[in-house]
Amino acid sequence: MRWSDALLVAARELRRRPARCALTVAAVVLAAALLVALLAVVTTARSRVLDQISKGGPLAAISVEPAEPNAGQESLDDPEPGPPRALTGTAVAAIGHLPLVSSIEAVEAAPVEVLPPAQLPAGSTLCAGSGCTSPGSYDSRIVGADLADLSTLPITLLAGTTPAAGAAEVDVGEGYLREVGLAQSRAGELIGTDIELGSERFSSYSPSGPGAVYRWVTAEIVGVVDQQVGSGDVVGWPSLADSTWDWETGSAGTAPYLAAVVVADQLSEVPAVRAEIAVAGYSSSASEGLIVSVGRYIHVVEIVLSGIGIVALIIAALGIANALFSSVRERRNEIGIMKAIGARDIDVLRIFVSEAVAIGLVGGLLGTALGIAIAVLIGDEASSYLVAQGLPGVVISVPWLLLLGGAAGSAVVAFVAGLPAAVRAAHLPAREAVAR
Amino acid sequence: VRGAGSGRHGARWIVVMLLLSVVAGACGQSSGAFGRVHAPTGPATVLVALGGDESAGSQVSDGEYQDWIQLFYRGSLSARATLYDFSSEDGTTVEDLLEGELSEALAVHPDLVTVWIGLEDLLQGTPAPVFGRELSEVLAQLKAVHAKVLVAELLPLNRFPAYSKCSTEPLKCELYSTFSFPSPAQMGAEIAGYDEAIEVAARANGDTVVGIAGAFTSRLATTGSSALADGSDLGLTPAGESVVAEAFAGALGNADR
Repeated sequence: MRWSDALLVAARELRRRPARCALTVAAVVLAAALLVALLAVVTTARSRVLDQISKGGPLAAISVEPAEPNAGQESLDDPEPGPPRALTGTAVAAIGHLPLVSSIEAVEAAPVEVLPPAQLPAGSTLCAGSGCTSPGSYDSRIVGADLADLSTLPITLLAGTTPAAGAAEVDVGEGYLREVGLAQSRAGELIGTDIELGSERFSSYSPSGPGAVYRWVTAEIVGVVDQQVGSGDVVGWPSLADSTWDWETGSAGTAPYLAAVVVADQLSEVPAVRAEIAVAGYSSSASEGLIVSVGRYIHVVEIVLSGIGIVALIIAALGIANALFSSVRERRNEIGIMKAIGARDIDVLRIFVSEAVAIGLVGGLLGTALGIAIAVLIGDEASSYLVAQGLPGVVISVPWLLLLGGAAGSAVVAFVAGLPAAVRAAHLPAREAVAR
Repeated sequence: VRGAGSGRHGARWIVVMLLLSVVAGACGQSSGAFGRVHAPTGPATVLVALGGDESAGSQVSDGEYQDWIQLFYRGSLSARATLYDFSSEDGTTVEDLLEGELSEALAVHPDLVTVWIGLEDLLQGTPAPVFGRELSEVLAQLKAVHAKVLVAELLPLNRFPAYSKCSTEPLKCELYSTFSFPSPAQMGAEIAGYDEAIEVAARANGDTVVGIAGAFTSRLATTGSSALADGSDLGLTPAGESVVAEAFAGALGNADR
């Protein structure tokens, strides 16, 4: 008897007992759904929590400060910096060449007067009744960095996109949202609006003493970000910070480095790289201690939730085993007749194994689909809550491995659960079976 | 029998497709991409505003939104223009321009320059011909760098309520000034002399004159002076700043034709 014949016989047997078959499949569906939903949710939670800690940047990111290291605090994630020390281009290049450093990104900063548009979106808290109160200008900083690849910087895009190099475009931070009275959930309303950026130079030409000359440029807001690169509400390319700095100082050069973001080859190598940076004479901070601790806690949660799912799968497996043992008991005569007309032990084994695997596979597929649906529903609910709290929403991500594991794993569990009954049926003597 | 069988077959396919769509939909949500390509922007206008704050505004309460220069910058130029505002200092005379401010303004390579100056010269008693000669020097230097220049006439101060009060009822004057206010008619004649000097200097350098006097005269006839000028000092109201911005915008349009 071939496997295909065994499968046909198994399918016929399952159709003969639809209620038992449906209940057994339902148990597998529920177990697989529980396991898939729990793992999908915990996987998303892990990536979301770590993403939040690293502000969307690489987990192995290190921020180098323009200050000397503070002796005795090097082991802390966020040490108190020592005396100020200019972070020069030479120093940045030297740190970039340290062993175990994957990349380095210098971040510039220049003071700026930010002038939001007088006309605000209707959702602004500055708007009430017939009109809006103009937000007025306020002092902040332009943070300039190479924004071609955000994954190398601790910047999370909340809405819109990143500024294009060379274009009069900027992203704004959460401080700007506060200034214009918008909740984070309405950040998208700022996209496409203009912002005026003023810089001030003191000049001695004035008859009444040093006077200010203002330079104003207009830029389009193309994105809203949550960033940990440096304090400042406007994020753009370095050229924007440089031109602002040049006007304020009357020089032609580069705005001072606010920090440098170094990425180590691996998270485990962050302490070694930080030690090298301290030797180079600069203070640094990183979230690696927090990330490792949080990662451990999340792993414990993963183990607990996986355990719950596995317990459910074991219960389902016991159900399959029970159903197949019952089936063997009920079909003794049939097995005897099959053997009497020439069926081998392996043929009988194949029939029962096929039944078990079919139950597991169908239950696994349906359970995986149900689990994804449950996870998406949970994700939507969590997202609504987070958005209402003024935080970015969350999207449940389901790795392909989990999908394959859900279906194939259920089939394997069913195979293992059905094997004892199948072996018992296969070894049943034809004489004894027929005699009963 | 065949029809019933194919119906069951179809139902199975629907179930399979539904399952696949659920699975594919969930996996699709795990990916995401951002970033878009922008066309590079062209050369942007560099606007320089020269003058003193008495003549160039900046006395309104919500200055960054209502100053005439901001209104002009926002309303008449491309969003990619840069404004260098040298007009926030009080007490600036045309001589001050020549001695310091102008060289700094030239250093930013302006494409368009607004010049609105003369009030301080007038208050200090500089004769109109002297003022006109110095202004002409300023305009000649701007011409040398091929900047488009808009030169504005003086504000008709003599028609402002605060001026009339200080001139006719000095005890009620709220202006802190050592200036002895001549009669509105006499002041009007002096302003007209300055405006003429401005016109001559502008014509000599091929520049465009911004008709502030005409703009205010036509608007004063409909709104009254208190709507355009502050009642207690010589500053403009937001509506007055708007009149100035419109006059500069009109002059820019004329210069472009």
